[in-house]
Amino acid sequence: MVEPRLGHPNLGLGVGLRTVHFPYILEKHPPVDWFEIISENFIDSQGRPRHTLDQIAERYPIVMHGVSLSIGSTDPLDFQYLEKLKKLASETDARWISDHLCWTGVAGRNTHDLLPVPLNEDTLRHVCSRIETVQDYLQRPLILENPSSYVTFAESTMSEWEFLTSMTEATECGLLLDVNNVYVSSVNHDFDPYEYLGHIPYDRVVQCHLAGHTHCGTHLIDTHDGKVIDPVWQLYREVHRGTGGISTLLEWDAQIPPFEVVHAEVLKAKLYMEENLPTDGPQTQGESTGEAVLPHPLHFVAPEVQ
Amino acid sequence: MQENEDFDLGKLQTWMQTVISHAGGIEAGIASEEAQREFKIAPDTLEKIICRSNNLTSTERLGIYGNAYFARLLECLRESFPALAYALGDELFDEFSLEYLQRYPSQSYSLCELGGHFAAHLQETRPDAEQRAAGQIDWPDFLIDLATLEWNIEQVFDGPGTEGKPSLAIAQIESISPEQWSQIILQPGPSLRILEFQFPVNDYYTEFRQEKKPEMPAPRPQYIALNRREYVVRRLEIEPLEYRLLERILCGDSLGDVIQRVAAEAEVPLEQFAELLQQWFQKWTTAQFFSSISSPQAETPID
Repeated sequence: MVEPRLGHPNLGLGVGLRTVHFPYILEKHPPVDWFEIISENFIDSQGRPRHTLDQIAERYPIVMHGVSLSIGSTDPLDFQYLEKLKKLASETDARWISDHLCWTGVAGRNTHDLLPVPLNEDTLRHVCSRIETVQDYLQRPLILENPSSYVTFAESTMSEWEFLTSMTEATECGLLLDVNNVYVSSVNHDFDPYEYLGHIPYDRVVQCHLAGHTHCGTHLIDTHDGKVIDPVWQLYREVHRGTGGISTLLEWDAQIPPFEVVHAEVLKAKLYMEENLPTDGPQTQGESTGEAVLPHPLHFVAPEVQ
Repeated sequence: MQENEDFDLGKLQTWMQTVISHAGGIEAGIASEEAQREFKIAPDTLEKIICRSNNLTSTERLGIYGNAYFARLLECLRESFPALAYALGDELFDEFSLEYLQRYPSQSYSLCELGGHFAAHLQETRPDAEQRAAGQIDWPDFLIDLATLEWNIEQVFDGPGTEGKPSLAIAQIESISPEQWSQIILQPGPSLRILEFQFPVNDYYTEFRQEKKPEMPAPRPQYIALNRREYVVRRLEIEPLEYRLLERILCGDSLGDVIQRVAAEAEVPLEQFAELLQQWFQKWTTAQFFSSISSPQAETPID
């Protein structure tokens, strides 16, 4: 019998910690339930970012979310990176450590993109073996997220939900269900997002993500640059029903508005927990302005200098 | 589910990375020798590897990753080198950056490392080796100086610092007995860096930050000390002689050796040099360049 959320607590409604919000958070101490950090922005920091994180971690629960584990790569795992993750998790009392079902590079290179893996038995064995190594090293379950993706492979023999289910059952890793990613991939790959959610083993979902995306006419790109659209909220309602309540986090990584706006956006999730409709009407699809749109991740900390 | 015995994940990943990171675009990437070594495939048979969707062809779908690859990394380099990007203009900066990313693709888990070789790349690929020897053009030196300054600012910002720890006070230096003086070693704070430039890029950087739209300056040597206090990077212009002194101090030489060597090179009268030293020690301690004093004869730092 698996405990709900693999035994992890429901932390409530959290916000992705971004440097532009540091001064506001330190000054106002907003009533946010928890923060998720991009691990790579802090594991080497010995300056302002780390100092600020330490102050925030004293007040709020912290979860670490990485973009460079590259669990699906055929390159060797980077144990120096894992050591740094483990150290930061210990120092900030991180509730869990997550990353993505993806690969980021091969042959020693990093594309800094979350590249999809072909979904078949070979890849599943490869990924599961690496998850077990990582979990042994970190001495805690790894939580892996379904990425947004823009291609599918001729060599895939199973659906993403089948892959995720087999992966979590074989390794006892947790799932980070990104509801926006389910929607983005469903449009890009022509599947029914409700069928996807209908097959997710909800007791193994530890956390979920919400975010905005950009409609490029023929496909969607996961840009994290706006509000959550209504179809994604409707999917979130389904996830909340299925999980019985889950740590929920809003990601906003480009054109980041003031903190109050980001916080208000994630608080809308309460409306979908009680099966209500939002008071400000449904959010419609964000259309591409024609400028280059970049899929998440993009993370960079600008220096403060006099 | 049917398994393909010939499936090779590593081969597929090598191929995909090659194709999406090809500077000539997806189709050129597919046709490249490196990609063809993995899969002998043409764009019109790409569906053997990448499926099409209802709306997009296989090439268009793969192109989303190809477009994002350089766009993401270029955006990151623009954030790391804002003044250099301004100096070059968007088009030229992107051109230089594309060359750089092909020569030095990221090998780190962190985007913070991405610009680490940019100044070296500009030096290695400078177009003017012959003209430079003839003293004809000097703008590559300006660009290299500016890239060096911006990279060091970024490193000092998030590198080790001394926040929360005491720095060396002028009173501690003044309390050193004459017998000890020549033997002591000044311990620099971990964020202190000194930089020597052929162009006044620090002034240019200041004007850029003040949105004064600076023009490329005429060459003149400029010496800058960078360090961090209260998590903010501080830039301080220093004299050429100060630079030489700090250079020796950062090498770990004793104060006696530092002064003797630099004074001999500088050809400054000893009295004048002593006066300058006093001013500089005052300036350095105010700027918190040093954390402590030690002596090779003492096991512990001198209080």
